[in-house]
Amino acid sequence: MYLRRQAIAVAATCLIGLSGCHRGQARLDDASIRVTPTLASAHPHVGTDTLAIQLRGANGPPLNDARISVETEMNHPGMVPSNSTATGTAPGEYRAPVEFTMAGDYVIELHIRLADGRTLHRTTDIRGVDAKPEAN
Amino acid sequence: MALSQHIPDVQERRFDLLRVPMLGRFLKQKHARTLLQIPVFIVAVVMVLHGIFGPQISPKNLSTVLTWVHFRGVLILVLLVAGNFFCMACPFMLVRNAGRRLFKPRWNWPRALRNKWGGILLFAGVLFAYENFSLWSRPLWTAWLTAGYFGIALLVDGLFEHATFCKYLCPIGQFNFIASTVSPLEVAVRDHGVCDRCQTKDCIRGRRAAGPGAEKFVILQRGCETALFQPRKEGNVDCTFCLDCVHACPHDNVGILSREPVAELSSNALRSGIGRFSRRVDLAALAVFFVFSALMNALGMVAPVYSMEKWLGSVLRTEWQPLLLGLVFVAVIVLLPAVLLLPAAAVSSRVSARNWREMLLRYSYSLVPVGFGMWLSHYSFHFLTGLLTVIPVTQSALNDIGIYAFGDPMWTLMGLPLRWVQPLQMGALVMGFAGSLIVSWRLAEEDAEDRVAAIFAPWAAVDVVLLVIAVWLMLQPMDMRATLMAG
Ligand code: SF4
Ligand code: SF4
Repeated sequence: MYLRRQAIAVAATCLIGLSGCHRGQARLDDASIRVTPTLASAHPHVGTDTLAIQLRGANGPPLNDARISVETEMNHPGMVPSNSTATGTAPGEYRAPVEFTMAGDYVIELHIRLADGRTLHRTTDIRGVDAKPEAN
Repeated sequence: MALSQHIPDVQERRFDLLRVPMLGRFLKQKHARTLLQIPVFIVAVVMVLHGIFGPQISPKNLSTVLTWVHFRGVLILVLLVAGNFFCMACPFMLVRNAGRRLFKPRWNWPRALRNKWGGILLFAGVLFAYENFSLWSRPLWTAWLTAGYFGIALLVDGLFEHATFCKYLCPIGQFNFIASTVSPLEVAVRDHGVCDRCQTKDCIRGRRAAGPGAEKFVILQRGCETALFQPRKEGNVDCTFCLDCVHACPHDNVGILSREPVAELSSNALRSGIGRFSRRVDLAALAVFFVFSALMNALGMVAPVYSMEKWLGSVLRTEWQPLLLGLVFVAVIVLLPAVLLLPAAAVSSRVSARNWREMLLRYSYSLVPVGFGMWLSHYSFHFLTGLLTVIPVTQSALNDIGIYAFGDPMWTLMGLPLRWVQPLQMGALVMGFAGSLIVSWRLAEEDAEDRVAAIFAPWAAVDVVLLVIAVWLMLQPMDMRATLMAG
């Protein structure tokens, strides 16, 4: 009986743990911050592209001085992500290079640390990166 | 040169895994299988939990990484170098065995369904779902697929006696049964003379004792649940490597013996629990499905399939993916085999003056090695190039539950570089191709000693076509997208 209770406790801890507690940072994954990532190419292809990221607060003011690290990974297991850091280009506007190593679908993860120390995490899907550059 | 068939006589000295010090002793323990199943079961539970509660990003979730990269890679490599050891360590059977302690199955699987058609249908269903729902990119769905697999195995074997799920339904089992025909090890009798003198035949009957109270009997040791009677068992088809026969045999006369890979594919002997290959339309269909689904599965990874679907979509004026994908499936898994195999059967039957249907059935098995080469090439690509990616994903999962002892995820860990893996992939394809040539040559030798080359030629041509398609596919740049009509 004792063993069974212990097993249930361990399983419950795993379930709670896996559901996403992180290292005690103040996470801000609600919708009060507007993060708008936009890829420069309408039809992305293998190679380097640029991701523009717009950051807006709850009532619309641009959020400056955020640190944004960008992870670009193929939406297939067994793939290694490529990392880059976004730089500010205008109030609330950031840009980061993203690398598409082969054709297919990608996920871009944005790890954002706001100027006040709060963090948030957003993902965006990039569908159908082509092997060949677009013909102009 | 005559490549006459050579299935070793059991009296010959063959390597026996069960005689290897320590390992052999371990495997002969009654609970060895359970001990192997428990860690695999724990990994499966972790995969399901992480798939449900972990990050829904495919390369960062244990459910997708372990299922689609590591499990498939290890499975095919172990089949290549040893045998059907996945079925031996199968976690679904662990749960089933536990379930059977509570619910005793009451029925026998209906006679009409005692064939491979149900297994082929489920195998096709899983492959279709994999492509249609892009399961590789969906941790949650992959987790539910795994959990569902446990549920179905439990349900089927909770209702029906023996190893019904394994023998007739399990898609992984069907894959393993066919793939293990190229494996170098088999569960077989050590000395047929001992079997001739054996009175009990426990390897098939098992051992029972009178039961307490209302129970008529209790099973002390199961006999073969897939109905393979050791003295007449030949090859690996339907053998789950459960080792029940090893434990049941009172004369310690069953081992895990070495043998010549692919040799069983050219044998038409009467096999216990199976019959003759040439009489089993369902089994031949499974072999053909195994081969052409390898093409389909690899085709789903490269750009031409999307062009094909776009073209089909424009002709049919639809973007409904299940329909378009279904048509590609039919083209690759039904039409292509028909176009290749029917003429080969017709030509070889003319030359040999044998019935074309029999030729079609017997020579279908000769394609298994080339199909195996394709699966090996595909799965080892993902496995070897993504070998170490499981480490950062595990670190990340541990971090998420507050365990930091293993450090931050090392996301840059990868696997072997593509330039190393590609020659290995090519080697796998060529090896499979060579295996198929050997099998069809041996079959041709049996059919007509004076016209071997003429009978062999059409089947060799089929092997060449398959090899060329496989090499072409392998050289295409990878393109994995969830929506076929995208881009
Ligand atoms: S394998 Fe063992 S139990 Fe089966 S017939 Fe041979 S000696 Fe008897
Ligand atoms: S009992 Fe049957 S399935 Fe199990 S190892 Fe022996 S022959 Fe194979």
